[in-house]
Amino acid sequence: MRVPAACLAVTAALMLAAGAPFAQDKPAEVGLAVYKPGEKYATDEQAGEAIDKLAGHLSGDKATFKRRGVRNNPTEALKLFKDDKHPVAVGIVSPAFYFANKDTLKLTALAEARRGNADGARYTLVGKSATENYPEGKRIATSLTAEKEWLNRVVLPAPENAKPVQWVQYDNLFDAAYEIIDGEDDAPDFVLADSISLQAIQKDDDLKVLKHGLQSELLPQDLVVEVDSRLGAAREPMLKALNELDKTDAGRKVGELIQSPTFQKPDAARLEKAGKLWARK
Amino acid sequence: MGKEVNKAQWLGMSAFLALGLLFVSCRQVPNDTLNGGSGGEHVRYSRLVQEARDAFESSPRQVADVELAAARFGEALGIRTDEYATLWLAARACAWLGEYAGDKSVREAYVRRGLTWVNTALKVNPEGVEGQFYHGVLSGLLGDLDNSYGMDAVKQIEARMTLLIDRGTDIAHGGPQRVFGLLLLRAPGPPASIGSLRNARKQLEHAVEIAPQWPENQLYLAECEFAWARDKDKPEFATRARERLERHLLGADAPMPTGVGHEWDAWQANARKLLRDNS
Repeated sequence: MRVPAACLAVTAALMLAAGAPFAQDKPAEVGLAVYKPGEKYATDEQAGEAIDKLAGHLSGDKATFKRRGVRNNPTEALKLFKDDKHPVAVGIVSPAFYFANKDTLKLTALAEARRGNADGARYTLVGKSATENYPEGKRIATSLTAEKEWLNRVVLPAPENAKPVQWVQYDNLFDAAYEIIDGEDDAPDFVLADSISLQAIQKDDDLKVLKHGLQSELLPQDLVVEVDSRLGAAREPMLKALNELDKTDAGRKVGELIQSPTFQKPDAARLEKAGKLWARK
Repeated sequence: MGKEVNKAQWLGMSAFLALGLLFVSCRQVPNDTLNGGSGGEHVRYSRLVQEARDAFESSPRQVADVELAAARFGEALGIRTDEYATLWLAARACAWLGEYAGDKSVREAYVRRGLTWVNTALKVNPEGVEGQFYHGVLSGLLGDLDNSYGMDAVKQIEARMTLLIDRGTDIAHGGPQRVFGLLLLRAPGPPASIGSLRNARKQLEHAVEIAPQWPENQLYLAECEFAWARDKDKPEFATRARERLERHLLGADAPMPTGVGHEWDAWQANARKLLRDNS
């Protein structure tokens, strides 16, 4: 069927405005945004080049991926996702961001990172002594205070009537752990360590004396999310490229660059469980 | 410009920036070496090496001098490639240029050439202190100029510098402690990398203990003290850093080591920037 040129032009303008790719000679532009809380180098200045390489790797006949921004602050990240002039079609975001904005931004989780090639994320409390119980009122070092709700509801939910823990921001969890073993006055009581940091702590000559206690559930890692069904025809090729990142030299380089050798389909049960914890007030 | 202290026998560059960033690749730092032999032209080889050494030792040293040195070393290494001393001296010239010469592409070209030369030096003498040191420095510079080498560069620096520190070897005025300390200061902590303010301070204080007269040691310890003041909310460390910069780099009596020229200007500019950023 032939479509009048004028009609095509109008359709094209509308779809571009939504950031959605469509079949035409010139690949459509797909806005890509990254939000990584707790990592001070997750900025355009420091990480933009790496995300541009990821965007280049994902680009193909149907779509050209273009970086909209890299943020480590949830408010700034939200601004990116709400910018109608430079629409974001796909993002790599923390699970907390996904659950907090799932409905308002119309997010769909398409894939999950495998940082450290691990399936899921688990957090462990590390301190001078091991605790298997919720450490009521204690000071806990984390790089994730920007996502306190996630910490309190999902990572370390407090039992009913328990005195909440105090989350203390540390950009560097090693230094928080050193404060504990050095016996500094204002040292935290525990460090909330992700699995990669935990391995690093276990390997460190000074820090390996620390004890490991309470652990979180196995939680989702960072998620690749589609915004408001904007990916269109670019969705499947993108997912294939992400899933097969470790299958080619070029893909492996990108995987190393973004510290996730591949992306897998989100674990539905894990996501649902985290969602239920998140929904609890 | 302040009064001079003892002539700098070793070059102590280490001002590469934040390595091991959040998104860094682990492309391997090149390990290529020269294939040349140990053939004739002894007189010409010796003359070229001497010219290169003289050019590098120009006082005060400027970029053109070191470029000439690198060129002469290059010619000499076209004749023979089995002399460890020539190889590491050549690599050192490239490391200097990797830090101070022109634009990024020029610096990267020198760094890559320096890596080839230092790899060859380590092939000739795998235990060589200078080879170990400048391999770490050049890896760091490459990682800084091309982030895709960042992760491997961090590994190389950590391995080389801890080896030298554990051996108790001094080179480049507390170079291993300074280079490793600066890496720990500027790199993020786990899970992204190995950075730690506490460990950085230990190394940089050690570098200052070893060579208090070397301005770079004072400069980076001051940077660490400013970071410590911010991170620990201890303003007395910022005061200490300001006094350190004044005494060792910016004051009228700040002692400039003999032979440094271009470097001294760069260090002073960095010291002023630190003061501005922490005012």
